[in-house]
Amino acid sequence: MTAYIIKRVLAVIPILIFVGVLTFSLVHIAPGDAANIMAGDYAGPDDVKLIRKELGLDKPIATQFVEWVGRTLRGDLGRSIYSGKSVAELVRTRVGPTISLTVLGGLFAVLIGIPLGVFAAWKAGSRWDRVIQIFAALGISIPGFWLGFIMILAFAVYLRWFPVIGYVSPAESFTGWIRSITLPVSLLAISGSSIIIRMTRASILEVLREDYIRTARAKGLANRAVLFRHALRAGAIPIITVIGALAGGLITGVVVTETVFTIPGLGRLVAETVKNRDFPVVQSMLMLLASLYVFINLMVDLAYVFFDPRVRL
Amino acid sequence: MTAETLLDVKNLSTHFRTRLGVIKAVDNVSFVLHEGETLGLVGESGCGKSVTALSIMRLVPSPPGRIVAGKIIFRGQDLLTMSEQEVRNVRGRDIGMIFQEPMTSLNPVLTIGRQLREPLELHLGMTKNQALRKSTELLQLVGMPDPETRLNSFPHQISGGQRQRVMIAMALSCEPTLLIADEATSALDVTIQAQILEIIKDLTDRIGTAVIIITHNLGVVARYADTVNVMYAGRIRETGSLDSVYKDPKHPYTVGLLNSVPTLDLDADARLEPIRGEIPNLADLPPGCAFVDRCDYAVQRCQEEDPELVEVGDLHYGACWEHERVARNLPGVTV
Repeated sequence: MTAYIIKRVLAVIPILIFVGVLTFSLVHIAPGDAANIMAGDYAGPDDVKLIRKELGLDKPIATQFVEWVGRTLRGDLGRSIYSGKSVAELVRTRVGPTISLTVLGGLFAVLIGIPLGVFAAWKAGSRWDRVIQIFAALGISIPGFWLGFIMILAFAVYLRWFPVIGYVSPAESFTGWIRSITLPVSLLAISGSSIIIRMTRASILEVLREDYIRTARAKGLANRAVLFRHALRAGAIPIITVIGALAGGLITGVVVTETVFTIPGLGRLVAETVKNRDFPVVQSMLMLLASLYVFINLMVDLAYVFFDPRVRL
Repeated sequence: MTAETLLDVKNLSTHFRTRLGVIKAVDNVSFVLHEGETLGLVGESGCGKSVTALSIMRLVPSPPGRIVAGKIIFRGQDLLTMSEQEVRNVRGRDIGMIFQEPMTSLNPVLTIGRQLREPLELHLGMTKNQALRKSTELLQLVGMPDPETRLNSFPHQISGGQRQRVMIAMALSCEPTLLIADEATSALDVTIQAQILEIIKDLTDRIGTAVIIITHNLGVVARYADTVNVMYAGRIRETGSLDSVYKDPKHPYTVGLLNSVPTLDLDADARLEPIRGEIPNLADLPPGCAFVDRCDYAVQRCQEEDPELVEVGDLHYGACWEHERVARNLPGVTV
């Protein structure tokens, strides 16, 4: 078991190297030159050259890469070529809303998705099952940005229960924070829980046919123990997989959500800096998000071992 | 055998709705089991043995299965009119059950200890530590080597025979008054089969548990049962004490079953006499006796009228129009 964990953790290193190369090349291959954009429409070729030199863009690409890797390993994530702020500072000011949205959105997706999925499997074929399945089908097929606008229109514009745009930090006002994130968190939870419901229902439905479920019932266990102790644990692997994929999806999904609800988070930061060719920020942000992604996948793999003793490799 | 009646199954019918029609898996079955007694339920696969057992546990998969009629009086109370909660209190505590497939009957993701503890904590109100101590004792009783380490094992880490030992320990942990062993040894090696059966007999004798042994193995029944029910196509066709049914069979199906068992005193060149044909389609049974197409004793009446169980000896019942000819071993006269 420890050998498996060590092996799995070590496997992260080549993945991160690959991600680093890919991130760097993508940013530098992409059309559009940061120096050109910075210099503006009226700058002469000399100005552009000067800016290129300042940014280190005149050096050979390999040298640039080695320098970037060296800086990143030392913890220096670089500086925005526009605002001059360090990436670390940008992340610090923007991370709050993103964490609020992704953590709460993911949490509610799991807390709603798993019980509803288990319930639907237990009552398979009943009216309840059908209602839950329709909810899940809608949650998956309706695009997030559209549902987001409808939610804003209904609950913020007409009913005025929530603010239309913006984010309030919990340090400023707790109720303001709750009000500002309710709609985006609901949006993430609805689409997330829909996927979890479908996978949980399918997995539990299959497990419920197993002999050991009959054994559990023959012992006199109540439905709750049979479903959550015996069936859910045995059917956990596909559910964990889908939750892992969902956590990855939240990282990208938050870009859309933050844009729709005009929330100044990391997702918006990435979108803005890509548009501005602010390559030091883009590079570091991509690296950060990719590492997070790799980390989530590592956690999922380790969770397999925890939930299913038969997993060994 | 003057013991108290433990289980009284009256006119039990369990049907399955399928695309091919209604299958009467158990059709008007009645039998009585006394305390401490061992009953053998024999017959080919698909004859309704297991469904009878699952009906007693109220674990018939529904849908498509449904108990449509009858009473199952267990210790004076009808299991079929009990609430789900009341039945749960009976399951595992008063009636234990061992299933056929030792490989799939234990939950693969929970430790042996976790699964053994469950009924002890649920029915006897033990704490975790008490239940663990008791589980160790139980594993010792069923002859599990190194019981304390085994509590932390997962089912895939032990053999099929050992898993069945765990199943027995689990089913008997609350000292039930009735144990149902549904083909408990059929999937095991012959040597292991004997060990497992001896453990079941030894422990149930000690606790005074009545046993229903469900099997297609007549040798097992001969060794352990006091009384025998022979089932065919959802019904009991012959019932009586072990001696009367084995030595003096009154139903041609019982005769056929007994003749299909190889014995050592059979001459080397003598041939076994298997029952010819196959089990009829349960969704489309003929109006007469369900065994008629495979029977050497069949007469015209067997095609038209379905025989009921009648007394054919002392506490010995058979459902055959021609049971007297069967008893005198005179097959193949007419039809």
